[in-house]
Amino acid sequence: MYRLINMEYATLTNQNQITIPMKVRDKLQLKPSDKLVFYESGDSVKVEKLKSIRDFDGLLKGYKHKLTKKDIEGVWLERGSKY
Amino acid sequence: METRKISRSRFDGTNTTSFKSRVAIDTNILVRALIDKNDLLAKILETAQEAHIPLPIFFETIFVLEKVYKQHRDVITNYVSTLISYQNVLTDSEILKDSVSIYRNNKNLSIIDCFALAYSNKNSLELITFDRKLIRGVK
Repeated sequence: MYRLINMEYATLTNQNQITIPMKVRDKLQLKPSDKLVFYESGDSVKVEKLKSIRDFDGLLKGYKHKLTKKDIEGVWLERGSKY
Repeated sequence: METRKISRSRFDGTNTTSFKSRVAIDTNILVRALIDKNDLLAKILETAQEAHIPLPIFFETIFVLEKVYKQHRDVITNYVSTLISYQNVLTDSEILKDSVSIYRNNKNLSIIDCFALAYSNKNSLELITFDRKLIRGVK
């Protein structure tokens, strides 16, 4: 289900802390001790829940291709071909 | 050197319960972790005292995910962010974070270009290059 945030506000305390609004916590499925990651995006900053390494399981599941030494060499050669 | 090469038998993902406390991780481990149904990388990160991932290994991984597996830069940077968030992962994380941040926001620059920019910015250096894209990035 898509969780709609619209727009939420938070106020920075003297200790530079904010409370993440409930809708945002729900949207990102945050729970205590989860980590967040901040990405620069133009003039603003994007906040995402930091994934665990196990969250990446099967990311490239559809690929039957096995990584070869040639693949790795190829990417360096591609860069080298610009010179 | 204390860290010894992981024996070949461990690469099949079936015998992953014991690692040396200090290991170095290669590109193929980082890429195959996303393809194969094995949790070799997860077990390394969860058990090794030190998991070294040198910058060239990150660069190769990023190259391969982008060029061979056609992954979006957001996905690639999320993966790198997750890897370096583990406290036992040892690398030059400050310059890597800067490089990856530039990489995420500048689709026309390669990760090596971004590293060159991040390195020169961090050390207040003038980056000298013939690459026009990079010169625009410097400004």
